[in-house]
Amino acid sequence: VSYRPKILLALPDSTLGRANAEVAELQSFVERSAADQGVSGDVSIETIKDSIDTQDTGTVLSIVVAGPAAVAIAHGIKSFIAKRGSRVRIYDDAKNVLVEAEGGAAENIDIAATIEAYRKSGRE
Amino acid sequence: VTEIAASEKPKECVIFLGASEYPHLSSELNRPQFEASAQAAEEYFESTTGFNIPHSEILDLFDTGDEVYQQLLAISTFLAVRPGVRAFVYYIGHGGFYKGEQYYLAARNMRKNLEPQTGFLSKSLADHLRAVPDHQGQLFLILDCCFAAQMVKDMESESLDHLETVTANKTLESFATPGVAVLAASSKWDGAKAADTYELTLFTKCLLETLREGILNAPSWLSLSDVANEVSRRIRLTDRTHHGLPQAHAPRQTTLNLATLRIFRNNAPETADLFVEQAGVLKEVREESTAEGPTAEDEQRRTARWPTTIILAG
Repeated sequence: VSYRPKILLALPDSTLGRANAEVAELQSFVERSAADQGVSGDVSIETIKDSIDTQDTGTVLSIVVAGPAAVAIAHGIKSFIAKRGSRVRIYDDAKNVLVEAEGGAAENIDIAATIEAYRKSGRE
Repeated sequence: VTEIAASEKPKECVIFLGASEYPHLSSELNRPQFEASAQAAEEYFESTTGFNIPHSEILDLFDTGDEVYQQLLAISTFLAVRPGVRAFVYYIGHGGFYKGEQYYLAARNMRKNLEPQTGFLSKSLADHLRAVPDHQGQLFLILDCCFAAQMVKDMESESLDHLETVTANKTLESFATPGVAVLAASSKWDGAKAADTYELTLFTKCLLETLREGILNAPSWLSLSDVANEVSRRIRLTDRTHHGLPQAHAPRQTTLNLATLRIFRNNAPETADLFVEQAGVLKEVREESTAEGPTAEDEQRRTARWPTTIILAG
């Protein structure tokens, strides 16, 4: 069975409502980017809750990354940030922060390299 | 000042919606607090110290396995044969936004990526409730979920032309003027909470406490706005970390703002007891306190289900 690492995307500056609304848009950006790059089959996305105590349907994107989909995911995140200006925080599945991207600075952060490094680290 | 005897209490019914389990979604959405809250709320609406609504006037769709369209049909069938009856619609569950825009209330059989089709899309539910033929009664929505005030926008009427104007000399009709009021557990961007710490959701727990215990030194009948303020106070005392506070809205206003209509009996031991009708709105008149304390008549007024006397100014 191949290792399928999971990353979590959260919007730390958004209220719960805005995060719930925007996370769906972030999902669309990532899915579109994966489709454009022909790696849809390597990305499995679902919305999960940040806290089970709240009466919302989820504010965090959980992405299972298989294969070389890191570039597509990173492109989707950057496109979302370019449109919304929101800060996106990327965690590993143990909720350790891997990287944070915001505004124009997102262009200077190699999200793809971070995700790919994380994906490969799980196989070692 | 002219005194007139009040008519019978307005006929009321209540509809419960929502779910405590979502078998087609992530199990993290399942919350036993939702079921406990629905049961507690139903008991309150049925109780003699609450609304004293007969069981036959309760449509309990909470946790039903019916699809949303079947529930909507059940609602319209139920309301259509209750013309002019004041209806409470009480939802308990999760709220969310589909594709970032369309607000929905989760239903038991809701499917991922089909939320507008398999959950209660706010706009559709609002349109459905407003359009029930032959009902034309007051609607009071109580929404215990995240982002609940988002539904207020969807309840706004496109046209108020067909609604009657309430005049000052039609006191009793003010209780039957069509319209909508919403008690939302949270603003459109804030959350509601169902923590393991409590048996009930935070909102319903504080709402039922408010209704059962009342508000000291407030009028003997409370409006939705009064209740929202007191529930907010209780939530702040109960959980200081929680940000979402209830709001009362009257999105479909006629000349009467339903959020200010006094329909909830104040169960506090000390209340002000008189009402004055001014420009179509009931307002309380605080009486000077007496050294003897409340009279038997005061007590009778307090414990009555509906004000026994309404004072017309003029």
